[in-house]
Amino acid sequence: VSSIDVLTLRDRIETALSGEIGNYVWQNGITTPAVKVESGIVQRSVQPQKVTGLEVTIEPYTDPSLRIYLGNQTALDDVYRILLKQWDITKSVSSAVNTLVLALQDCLSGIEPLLPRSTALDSLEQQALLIEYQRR
Amino acid sequence: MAINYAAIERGVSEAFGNFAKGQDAAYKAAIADNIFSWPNRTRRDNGELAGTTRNIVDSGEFRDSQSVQIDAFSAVYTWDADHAAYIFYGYTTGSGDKRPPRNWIKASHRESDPTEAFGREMRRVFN
Repeated sequence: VSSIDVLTLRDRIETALSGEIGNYVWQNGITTPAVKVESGIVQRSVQPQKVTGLEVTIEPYTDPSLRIYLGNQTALDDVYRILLKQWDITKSVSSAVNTLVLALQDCLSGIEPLLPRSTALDSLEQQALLIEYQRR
Repeated sequence: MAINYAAIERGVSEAFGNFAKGQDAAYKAAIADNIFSWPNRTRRDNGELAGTTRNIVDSGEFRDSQSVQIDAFSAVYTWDADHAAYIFYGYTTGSGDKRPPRNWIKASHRESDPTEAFGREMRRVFN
């Protein structure tokens, strides 16, 4: 089980995907790279007005599990879900997925199937990578 | 004392088969349970007004796409409706609305622990 912390993970993803990450466009016209850490626990009060290109969301608390050792020592394991979404309908997440599989091969523990863009559901193309880690 | 390995194997396989059929019914029941969160109320294609806690049955296509292949010691469950994976993993729409993942398998296992269910079938066969 990896012990990588979320900020290190975010840095490694941003570095690996430097040329591919899209943008958040904010109300005041400022653009920032479309990468965020979203726990799902606290609702963000400010949302970008628009997202362009490839968006990366790191979800830190996806699948918690408790390990209890002899002597009552415990360890809390969890899974980072790195969700890639492609907002540009002329592009795919696949090259970014390939890049991240190589860049994170030391800690990667799983991958979800590619969900293609569906016109019936009006859904974006997406795919997620998984990293098991120990919560501290 | 002689041990009849073939009889043990047959018994375990019978217990497993019964267990696997039970899981098939349990997954269908979980899909029909009103336990899944949704961000808002919506009118479904079937006319029903679905609330913020709902089941995953609309047209029934997804529920009815479930099948299981049971062999002596293995069972493979399949949901082959086109949108099954989108239900399981969740997705985002082109306008940015998030559709949450709905994991009916985990929901079913929370309702009834499969290890315990298999244990019950084993006791039934071997008692």
